[in-house]
Amino acid sequence: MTDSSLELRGVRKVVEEVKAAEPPPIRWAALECELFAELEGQIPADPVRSPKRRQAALLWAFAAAAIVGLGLAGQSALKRADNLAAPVESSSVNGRTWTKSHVNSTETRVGDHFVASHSDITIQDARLGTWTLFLGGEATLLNQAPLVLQLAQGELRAEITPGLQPDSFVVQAAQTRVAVKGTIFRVHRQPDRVHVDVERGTVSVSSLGAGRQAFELRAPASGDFALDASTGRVWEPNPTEWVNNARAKTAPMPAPALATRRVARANLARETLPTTLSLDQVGAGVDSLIRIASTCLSETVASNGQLSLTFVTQARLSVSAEGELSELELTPPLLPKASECLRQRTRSLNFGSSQKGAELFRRLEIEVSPREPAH
Amino acid sequence: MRLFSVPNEPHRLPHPVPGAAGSVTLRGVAEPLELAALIDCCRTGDKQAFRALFIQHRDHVARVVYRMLGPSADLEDLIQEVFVQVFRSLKDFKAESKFSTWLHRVTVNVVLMHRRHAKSRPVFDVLPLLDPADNQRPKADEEFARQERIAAFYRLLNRLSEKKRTVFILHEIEGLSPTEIANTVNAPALTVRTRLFYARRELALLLKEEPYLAHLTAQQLDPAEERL
Repeated sequence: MTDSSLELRGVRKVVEEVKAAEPPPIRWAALECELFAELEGQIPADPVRSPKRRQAALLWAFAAAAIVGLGLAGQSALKRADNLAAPVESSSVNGRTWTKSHVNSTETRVGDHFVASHSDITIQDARLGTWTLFLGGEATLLNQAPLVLQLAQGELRAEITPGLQPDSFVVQAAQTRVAVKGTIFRVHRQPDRVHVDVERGTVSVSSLGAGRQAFELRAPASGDFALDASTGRVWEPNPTEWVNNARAKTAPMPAPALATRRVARANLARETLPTTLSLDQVGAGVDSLIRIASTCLSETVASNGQLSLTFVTQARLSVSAEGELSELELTPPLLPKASECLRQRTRSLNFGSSQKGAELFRRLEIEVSPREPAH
Repeated sequence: MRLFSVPNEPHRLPHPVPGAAGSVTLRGVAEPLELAALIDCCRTGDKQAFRALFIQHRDHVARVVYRMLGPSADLEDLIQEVFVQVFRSLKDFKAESKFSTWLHRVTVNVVLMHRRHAKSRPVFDVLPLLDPADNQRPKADEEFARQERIAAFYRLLNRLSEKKRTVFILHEIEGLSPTEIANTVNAPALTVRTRLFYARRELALLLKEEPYLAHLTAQQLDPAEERL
């Protein structure tokens, strides 16, 4: 029997196995739910209005016009700032559900619900800017001017035109209120906390309840807040400020709430990794990166010996064709000394040929423990 | 609970064929009565009817996507994308072929489109890190080994050109004739046969390079296989 006929027979044998193979279990219920949500999004509901509904709409229009007239005639006592700051009740709304990936703000109205079940949803507003609800997120439009969004779950990124009135864009997540002052920022609602990243500008984070005490976050900065924003931690790149912030602004939070990914500090002079990393080993690579960063920070930060600090940053890693770490960008960045140390020590990291030309985005929580006293 | 009931009004069924009990002709091709009614309702945007259509055909679509794509995390996304495409294009379904044929073609095109887009993106490919011969883990059971062989085979298929890969899968795994494949990929049947020939030859050569499949080319075949 010739080699080629043997090989062809081998091919046929595998083909038979492939033909007999059944696809893996599929989550039909979830898939069906997402499919029909998407189909609903593709065909926006445009119900034909009955004469009765048209009449009701007309009455509402008259009522709205009367209110506007009254407002113009002499309601100067109404302070704009108070209006802006007032939280909007989510129970008063009942609108459409949007699932398509691009929405123009002119199409939306108060009460609309955004469900990023299939892809990110980007909403463009000619005046305000752009905001994106990431996959898995849910938000409700509570008010249009100022724009108030209730983030029910997931993550939202807003890129707001600078120079607008303060509080022209507000995100409410649980009982936390994040108000913008011309900026780029992210809000991530998690089960036990609200995480805020400020890439540019300033945001103020406060509680929806009485006695609003605001945390001011100036870019680049990050913060973790309890769901009612009564307590929180703010991280800014300058370590002196961290300490100050930690002293001035940090109220105690339950430890498990923040310890999502903490890596034990190790005595690492130089980190080495296996020469080839598969997908499941990328996590190990990132953990190594965190350990190196932790070592670098604890060597460069003038610790007061008491505080344990956590630095939260967004990392972008580019891997060269040889599998080497060609670019590492942290937002917010580390101190120059710590950055240089990190650059030096990550030279030996290799993500292997399977990661050629890849780009990774990871959120890092780098813990810096207090230095142990010298013996 | 029934999600969908076939409408009783005969006028809703397009072009009933006298004498063809239990079937109805949508222009050229006869479809079962229920399916024809279902398609007709779906065309008017009836979501309940589309849900019924989805439930009837989802397993078939899942199988085709899985065979075209191989083990992949994108399986569910693509099944969903197929039905979105079906919903969009159902109004253009001319019934010049059977619905199942048309659905198969839509499914194949969605997978091919997905693969084309995926090529332009960097991917984290899961490669085998260990040679099975050196594997120190406990000996895997037969199911695990079978899955590994299938995954390895798709890795080989991915090394073929896209045209050859498509033709090979459609013919050898899906069982389509070269003429049917020619209609799907818009190429002459002769070209399809040529691609098939070269695909088989390349695969046979590549088989030796794949650690999980190399043993299949070894001489020791059991007598039952020898008789094939």
